[in-house]
Amino acid sequence: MTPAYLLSFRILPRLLTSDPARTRKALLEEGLLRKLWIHASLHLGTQLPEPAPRLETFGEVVLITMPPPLEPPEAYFLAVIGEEPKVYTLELGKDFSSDEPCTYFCGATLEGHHNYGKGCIPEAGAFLAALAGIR
Amino acid sequence: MRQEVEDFLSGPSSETYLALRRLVLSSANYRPDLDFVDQLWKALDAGDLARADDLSPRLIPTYLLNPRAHLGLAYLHGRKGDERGEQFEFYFCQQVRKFLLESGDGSRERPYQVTSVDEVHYIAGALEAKVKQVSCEWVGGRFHDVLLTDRGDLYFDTCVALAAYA
Repeated sequence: MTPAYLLSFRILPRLLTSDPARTRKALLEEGLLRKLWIHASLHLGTQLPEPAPRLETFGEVVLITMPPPLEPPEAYFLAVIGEEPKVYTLELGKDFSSDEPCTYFCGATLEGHHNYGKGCIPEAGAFLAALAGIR
Repeated sequence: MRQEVEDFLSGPSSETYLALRRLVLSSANYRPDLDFVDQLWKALDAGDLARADDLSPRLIPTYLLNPRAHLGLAYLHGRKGDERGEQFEFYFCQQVRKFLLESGDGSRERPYQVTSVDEVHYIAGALEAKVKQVSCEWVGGRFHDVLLTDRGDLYFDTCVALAAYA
C-alpha cells in the first residue's frame, strides 16, 4: 500500500463520514491535507513521497491533485463536494479488453468503492466537468 | 525535564507520567513527523552502531515516552557492553509501556493517548492485534486514528501529534 492509496481510500472517506463539515474546514483552513500526507507516510513507514498532493477550490468543490499514480487504482484527482461524505476520484486503471491504461471515475465512501465507469483524460478541467455531469 | 524524568523513574505514577507527557507535548522540539525510532531500529538491525549512536539524542524530547525507543536504546547499550545503560533503558521502557497501555482501552470513548504514530503500532503489537486497515476519524471534533484489527476497532487520540507536524 502507498500513502496515496491510504489517504484516498481509507483516511479521507472515514474522516468525511465522521464529520464532513469538520473535514472540509480542516482541509481549507488548517493545512489538513499536508498533515494527512505525512501521517499516511508514518503509518506505512515510508519516506515522505514527493510531490505532495495540492489543493484548490472551485466553488463547492475541493479539488486535490495527487502525485502521478504509480499503479491502479491510485488516483490522479480527488474531489470533496460540499459536505458530502464521499470522495470522488479519477483513478488510473486498465481497460479490461485491451489491457491498456485508462481512467475510471469512482467514489470512495466508508461502505466501499463505487465505480461509475470509464473516466476522462487525467486533467483537472475534464475531471471538474465530469463532476458537474453527475450532479 | 531532567527533574521530571527523575521523578517519574523514582516514583512512577499517573501523575509523574502525565507531567512528563505535558512537557514532551509542549516542547518546541516536539517533532512527531520525524520517524527517528524507525531509523534507530533500522540502524540497529543493520548493525550500524555509530548511526544508532548519532540518532540517540534526537529521540528526545519527542520519543521520551515511546517504549520502542527505550528498548532500542537498551539494545544499543547492550551491544556496546554498557550493562548499566542497558538496564536503565529497559526499566524506562517497562515504565512508559505500562502507562501508555493504561492511557485508554482502545474504545471510541477511551482511546489510547499517544504522542506519535509509532506508539499506535506499538500498542497494536503489544495487544497482539493483527492490523487489517488504518483509518482516521473525528471524535468530538478531535482527530483519532482507528486501526481495524482482528480484535475489533482500536481508537487512538493522535490529535496532538497531527497538530505538531511541521
